[in-house]
Order: sequence, then C-alpha cells, then structure tokens
Amino acid sequence: MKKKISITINGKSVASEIEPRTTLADFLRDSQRLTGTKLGCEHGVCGACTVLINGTPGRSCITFAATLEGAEVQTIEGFEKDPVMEAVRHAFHTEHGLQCGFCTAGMLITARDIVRRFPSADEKTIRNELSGNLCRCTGYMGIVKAVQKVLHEVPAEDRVRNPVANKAAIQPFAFKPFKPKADSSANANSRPAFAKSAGESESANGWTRITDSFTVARSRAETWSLFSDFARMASCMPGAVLEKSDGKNLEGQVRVAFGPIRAGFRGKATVERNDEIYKGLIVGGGSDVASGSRAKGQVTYQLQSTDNDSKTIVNLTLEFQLQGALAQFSRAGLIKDFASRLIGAFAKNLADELEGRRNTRNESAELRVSSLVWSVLVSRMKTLWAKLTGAPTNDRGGS
Amino acid sequence: MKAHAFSFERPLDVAGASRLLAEAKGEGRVLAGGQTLGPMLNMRLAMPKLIVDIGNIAELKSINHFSDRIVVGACVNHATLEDWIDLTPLGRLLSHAGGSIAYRAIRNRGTIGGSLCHADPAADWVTTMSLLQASLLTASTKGKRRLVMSDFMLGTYSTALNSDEMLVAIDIPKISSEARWGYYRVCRKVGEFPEALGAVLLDAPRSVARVIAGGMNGKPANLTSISEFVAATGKTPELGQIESEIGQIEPEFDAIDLRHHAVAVRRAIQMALL
Repeated sequence: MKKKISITINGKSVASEIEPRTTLADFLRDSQRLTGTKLGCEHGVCGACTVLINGTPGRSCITFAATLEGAEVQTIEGFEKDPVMEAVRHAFHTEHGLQCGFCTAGMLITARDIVRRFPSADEKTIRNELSGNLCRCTGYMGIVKAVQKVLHEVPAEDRVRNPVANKAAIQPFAFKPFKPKADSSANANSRPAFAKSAGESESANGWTRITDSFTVARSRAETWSLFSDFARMASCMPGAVLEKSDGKNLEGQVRVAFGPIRAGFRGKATVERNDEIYKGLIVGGGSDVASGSRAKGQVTYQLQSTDNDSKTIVNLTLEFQLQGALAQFSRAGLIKDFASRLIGAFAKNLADELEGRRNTRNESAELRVSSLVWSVLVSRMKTLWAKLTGAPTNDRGGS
Repeated sequence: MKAHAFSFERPLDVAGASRLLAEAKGEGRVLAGGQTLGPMLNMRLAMPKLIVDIGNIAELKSINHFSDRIVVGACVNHATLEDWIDLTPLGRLLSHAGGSIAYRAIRNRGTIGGSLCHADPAADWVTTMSLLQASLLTASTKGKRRLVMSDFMLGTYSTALNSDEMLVAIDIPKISSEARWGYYRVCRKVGEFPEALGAVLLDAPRSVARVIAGGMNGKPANLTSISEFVAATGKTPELGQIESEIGQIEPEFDAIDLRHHAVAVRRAIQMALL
C-alpha cells in the first residue's frame, strides 16, 4: 500500500516510498533527518511544525506527505541564504525571542511570513498573526519585539502583495430604511420536528437529558407489545444491533456516525418493566474501543392511551453521559443536537414500525431524512445491516 | 497521535473522484485541505478505509465571475479568499470571513468546500454562505445536484451529501454595490471556533435583509423578525429582542448562550449600519 512520492525539500528533489498515513512532519524528521521541524500538538493548533509548502506556511503535522506529490517544501534548515529569515533570526537573538527553542522553528517561519505580508503591522496585527504559534517560555514579548524590529528591514522585493487592509465595509452614505422581500431561506430555521417537540433538555455534571413524545395510531396494548420485543425495538434504533437478550439483560452494540467520526459502542443493559402502568426503564453502558470513549445512560418510556385507546402517546426520556475522546472532541451543544436527532429517528422508526409503514429492507428514504450515513456493519452472526440515519455519540450502548 | 493505515487515491478529475467514492461504498472520505480531517485522522476519531485526495483536481481551484454571481471551486483555500483584492461589498465580506478562520498556516491549506462539507455550526463559511444563500453544486456518478445552503446543511456535522457524492463548487449570488454587511464573532482566543457568530446583510437595491445567528447547536438561524426590524428602521435592536427570537429557535439555550449569540448579532448589525 506504499505510495511513491517525489517532493522538493529545501531545493533538493527527494523520491521516496511512503505509507499514505505518513505526515509531512514525520517524513521530514524520520526519513530525511530534518529534525529542526518540531512536533507539539499533532493536530494543527500549536504551530511548532510549521514549514513552507509551495511558499506559504502550513502545518506539517496534519499534512500527509502523499498529498504533496510535486510540491516544494522548505524547512527551517533551508533558509540559510534567505535575507529576510536572516534578519528575523538575528532579531529573535537580540530581542530574546526564544528560550527553550521548541517553538522557534515554527515561530521563525511564521514571523518571516508576517513581516513579508504586513510591512506596516502594528502590535495588534502581529499578535493576531502569531496566535497560531504557541510559546510556553517567553510570554511573547520578545517575539513580538523581534517581529517589530524586522518590519522595516524587509526589502520591497521580498514583500508579498499586501491584502486590503481594512475589510470592513463602511458606506459613505446614510442608511435608508427599506422593506425586504420575504426570505426564501427563512425555513433555514426549521429544526427537525422532534427537536422542537423535545420539550425538555438539560445538561448537568456531564449528563444530558432529552425528552420526546409522539403519538401512534395504535392501542396501548399493541404499542406495549412492541416495547416488549427488544429485537424489534432495537431495529428501530439507528445503528443498533441486539446480539443477546433474555428479556431482562441485553447485549449488543450501537454504531454511530458523527461527521467523519464513526464509533461502535459495545455494551450491556438491563431492563425494568412495569406492565401495570406501561412504564419501562433501560439502564446500560458501553464503550468504543477504537476511540477510547465510554457512554452510560438510561431510557425511560411510558405509554399513555388516548382517543378511546385508538391512539397511544409514547413519552421517552434519554439521559446519558459520554466520556473520552468523543466527548472531548465535541462541544456539548453539538452532542445534544445529535442525540436529539437520534431520538427523533428512533421515534419515527417506532411509529412507522407500529403502523406498518416500515420496510427494513428498503430504508433509502430514511437515509435522506437526516443523511448521517450509517455504514454497514457486518456482525458475525447477523446478516448485513444497512442502517442509516442518525446521530452519534449518544450512548447507552447496549440495546 | 498517528493516523490508522488507510488506502489513498489522488484522482485528477471530478469524474475519477466520484468513481472512487462510489466504489468505496460509504467507506471513503474526501480529503480537501485536510485541516479538519487531518487532526481527526491523527486522533483516530476518523478511520475511513479510503482517503480520496481531491487537492490535485485543477477544476476545483478556480473562481469564475459572472454578471450576477461568482462560482468558487470547492478547493479554493481560505487564504486565497482572504487576500482577494476586490473592494465590492461581496469581495470584502468574503475576505473578512475567510480571514477570520483559524490561523494563516491553516488558511493556506484549508478549503471553503471542506469547511462547508464538515458542517461545523461554528464554521465561518457555514454562516457566511447562509447569509448569502449560496447554492452548492455537487457531483456523483449518478449526476449533478444543486442545493441551496439552507437545504445543504442538515445539522451538526451533517449535510445532504450522500456518501458517494462530493461538493464541486459554491455558487454565490452577487450582492449590490450599495449592500451593507456586518460580521462579528464572539471568540475567546483568536483563531478558535467562535462561541457565537452574527452576520448581517442589508441589500436595499435587491430588497434583501438577512440576519444570521451562527455557532448554534445545529444549522445557522435566520432571524427574520430582527432583519425586518433593522431594514425598516435602520436601528439596532435591543439585546432582549434578539435573545427572544434566538430563544424561540433554540429553546435549549441558557442565559449565557443567549447573551453570547445576541451580542454577536447586535455587533454585526451595528457594523452593517455604520
């Protein structure tokens, strides 16, 4: 699976065979022994790995070398004859722009870019432009001073075309009121119906709670029978596979897709049911080994008959807590948005299942409903499950 | 912090990329600038079997000007738009929004199409393209589609793109030369995803007034009663008025969320009315 690449590094053409997952930074350091480029965060935030790619600064830690076929790369080792870099280096030296030196290669390359693009930069511009390079020693004072010192020394031919300085549109004329036409994109607000119907949702101590209710055109007894059949119920949960069930203890997994992230939570759950009051509680937890994420939670469901028992109102409450990489990656509100979508899809599938609209073999229509494509899971004992829709990082593994 | 092993293809045209995605049957992932997918691969949050690098497809890097619109290729990077020397209101807006994203080293490689397809609610292009009601042009082996921004983004990290489909270009309607706009991000550190975004367009000759709240829990919100108020009066609404409309759209927001978003929107309105 190795790829052949040829890249020009510091003026020399280099041909090599690499694994596609090799980052430019690892390629430079491990194969080319150009260890001036440092790796800090490895996700594009700290700036230590900054090099020039085709003449402009880029992060070598998140750029795969295989994407750079034919490109020109310049590392900190390749600036010996660059007059601007010489001035920047000198200024870092005289202004105490470095201490431990770990951020320095990236700082120098960024500083060189700043003085070329903003010949008349003020301190605010310099600090803004430096915000993508972290230094834990200097407090930035020396670095900012070094950049300021070099600003006036950059010869005109080394400057790049300066972008429009003031981007704000200040109109020379006074604003005149007008009547806008109806906005065709106003429906942009439409949230999924279930998100709106979710009367309650709150987060506390890492727990998120989402409630939803919907009505199905079936009697309570008939609806309750679906809630007693865990295999059928699991089939309504996007991405869920029930592997074992004795009526009380459940085992299985839930596959979730969250943008490019896919996770498979494997777990167990137990069920408590009260047939008298048509109420049930599923408590469980699971983990996704690949992303090192854990989830636990519970679902409460309660049925209420209405319209002379021709219809049933289903009240659902989901409470869950997510820990590990997935939780750290995302902002809380986003996970809630997803969990609401998941519950909504579950509710819709349950209603369709009860009212006989559901065809488990042909669900392409649902795919469009929310288009989070649930990829296929081949479970050893089960047939291919082509599942879709849905949302993610939710939780309570198990069911 | 190293990516899992994946297969890698670098097609030369959209047809080739579409074919690879179709053959991958949902296991392929498009890589454009890689400034979001790269970190996610490194952290092993994303582990697709196949990466289809579209960074070498020339047709995705062009910007085409028409009398009433511009069509920006999906692989045009943020820095190209930031540096755009175009003093029309639209040119300045694209330059301002593009220049707000992350850091220059990220903007040199990250692309407008990649940002829209990732559909992070706090992304600058998501808010800006909602403000401009751009159309997104897609391609797959089954054909081409055109989707307006409000239909393209479905929710957090979720778009109407099918797994075998890719974004090709963004068709942006031109705003008039007298149009006013404002843009404000509430952000704790330069370059981070903002807590809240406000974007405003007041285009009297085209009778378009739009106020967008971005960085929501899902899609951007179109604050129609606020935009009507601003267009009709030329006044900046009070925070409470903005909070009330945002609160109706996002009932889950607490007082702090509401204030962040209302402040972003209010400052964007002030900027547009300057």
